[in-house]
Amino acid sequence: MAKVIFENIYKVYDKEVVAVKDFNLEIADKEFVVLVGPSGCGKSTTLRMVAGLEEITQGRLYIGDTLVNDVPPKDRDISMVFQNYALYPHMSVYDNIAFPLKMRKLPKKIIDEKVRQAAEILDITELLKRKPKALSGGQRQRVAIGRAIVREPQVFLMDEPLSNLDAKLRNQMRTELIKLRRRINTTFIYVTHDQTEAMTLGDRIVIMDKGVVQQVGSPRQVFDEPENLFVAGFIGTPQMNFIDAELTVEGENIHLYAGGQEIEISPNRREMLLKNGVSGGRVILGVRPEDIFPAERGLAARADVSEMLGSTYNLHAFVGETEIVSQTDGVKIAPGQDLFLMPHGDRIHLFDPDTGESLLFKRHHCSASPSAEEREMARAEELISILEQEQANGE
Amino acid sequence: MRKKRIFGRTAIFIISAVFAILFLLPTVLTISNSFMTQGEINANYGVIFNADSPSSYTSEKATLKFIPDKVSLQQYITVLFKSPDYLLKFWNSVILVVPIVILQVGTAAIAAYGFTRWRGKLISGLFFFYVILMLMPYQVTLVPNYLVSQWLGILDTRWSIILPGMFAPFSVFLLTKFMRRIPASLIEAAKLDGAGEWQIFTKICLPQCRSALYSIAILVFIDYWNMVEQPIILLPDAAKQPLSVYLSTINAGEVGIAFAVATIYLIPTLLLFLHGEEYLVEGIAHQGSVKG
Repeated sequence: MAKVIFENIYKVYDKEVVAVKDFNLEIADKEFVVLVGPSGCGKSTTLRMVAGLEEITQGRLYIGDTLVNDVPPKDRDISMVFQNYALYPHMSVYDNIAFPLKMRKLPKKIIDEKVRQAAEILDITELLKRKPKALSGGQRQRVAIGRAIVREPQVFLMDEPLSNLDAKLRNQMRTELIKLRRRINTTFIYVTHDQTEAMTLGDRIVIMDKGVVQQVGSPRQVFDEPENLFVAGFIGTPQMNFIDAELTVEGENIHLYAGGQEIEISPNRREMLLKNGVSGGRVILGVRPEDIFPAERGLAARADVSEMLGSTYNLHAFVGETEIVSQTDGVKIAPGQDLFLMPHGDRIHLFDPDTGESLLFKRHHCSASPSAEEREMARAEELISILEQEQANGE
Repeated sequence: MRKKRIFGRTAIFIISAVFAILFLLPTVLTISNSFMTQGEINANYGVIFNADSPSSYTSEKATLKFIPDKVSLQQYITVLFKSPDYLLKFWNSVILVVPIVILQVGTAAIAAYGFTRWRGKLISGLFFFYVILMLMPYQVTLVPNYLVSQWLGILDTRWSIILPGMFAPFSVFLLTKFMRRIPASLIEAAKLDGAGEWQIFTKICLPQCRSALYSIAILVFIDYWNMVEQPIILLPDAAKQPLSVYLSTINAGEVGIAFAVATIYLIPTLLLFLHGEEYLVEGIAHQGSVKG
């Protein structure tokens, strides 16, 4: 079990393509961190750097207390589950799971014990004699996880492990992963482009775009308090609506106007804006579909289509040229009908149109990697607590 | 429309059948004739192999006979028990071809692994060079091989054939194409599992290339089992020459023996093919699809 520390990590290909830029993060021991972002955002590259499959161009990477920049993959005490399972096709399930133990030249008896134990955890004991090609996608994924857990690694890496499964199986495996995590309780770094996986699995989520960390936080935090337009748009389905708006600030009086109408701002939000010293001007109003409803007044809109989703409806409407979605509980609105949509005053988000940064939620420094001094302090505290514990035991 | 299709299929079938018969005819003739007596052979083909009057070769016709008047093992008995020369040549072939097959497959596998695992401009250039070499008929390299063998002092020894036989761009090319189809994630997984480069090669790559290795081994075996030019040039000592050369030197008066020797000569290749037919077809089909 170990923590993982990324310090100013860069990955540059061919001296010009920057895949990962100034990546800073501290992953605590036994923490489940999910790296999420669109294709090409650098999340897999980051994971591969932890695995040792990609060289680190610049920066320092620690696993536990060891600087691992130049440590070969096999000596990092990590294991990885690949998107395509990467099972050895010529070996049986048993041999696949036993392979990492055989490479470590463990006695046959111990290998057998560990393989059977892993197979039992993953409920694949009856598949041990089969070859991978005789397994279904879900079974293959279990075998791949079995091969990874059998070594009891310090850090468990997963690179989009559920992407090759169909939707139903993916949901099932996601639940299995949550259970598995409880059982093996080690440090996990999980890469996905699926925000549902990220939200349901992670203790913390790292949202990346174009090689840069956009936000680090708990699932609730990144959903409720997006720090920029990218995070706001990336997390949440359907995605957040963005509407051009105007903010006026006169002393403690703050007013927000969109589509020619004043939009209500809750006292809480107003206080946050004042605290952040926001000046007036053009802003982007962000509001999630579940936080904007048909009302007596508000944004003047024209209904387009309505999607029935079982218990709720997604109403698509146009505010001027901008399409927005409102999640309603079944209000019947005919296409083409004019209506007003009012955002929930305490759930609105405001962004700077130039920088894309949130005017409400500023970057959380606690989610960035601690400085060397802070790390030293934390280590010192850790040492003190160990010494104190030893002293107490001695007494 | 349907009639047209039936006609087309029938035509293709007939043409294919004609080609198949033409292709099989010499083999069937060789095998069936090997069971004839020397007298019967002379009666059928004596006119062709009559050394005293070579002109009769063109003026007279031989009788192609597929079914012997009387099945006889006389030629086989002569070859196997009364002709030590034959066994010696057979052994010569074995000790030339077996090391070549093993060494060529081994070096090709290691080279292909190198081409698969490490990429870059230099490696790409080298691989391109291999492809160019592959296009060159081996007859072109006979003279340089002769000169190098002479320089190394191995001329007229089996090494003059075995050493050049170890390295073949074609085998490397085929195996590289095959190995490059192994997903990179498998190799990466093995690395993370603690395997070193040699273990990745032997435990992950080679087992997955079994069909390619087998097909290459069979092709190399056939190639060298049938070689004639190399031993004639590089191995002038008749006592060391393989069966393939011996076949062409069988006396005209022993045509019957030639049939029996040719039949026995076919057996190792045939057995090898039958044993690995599945792998061979899979390997060639795989390589075909790669090249296509």
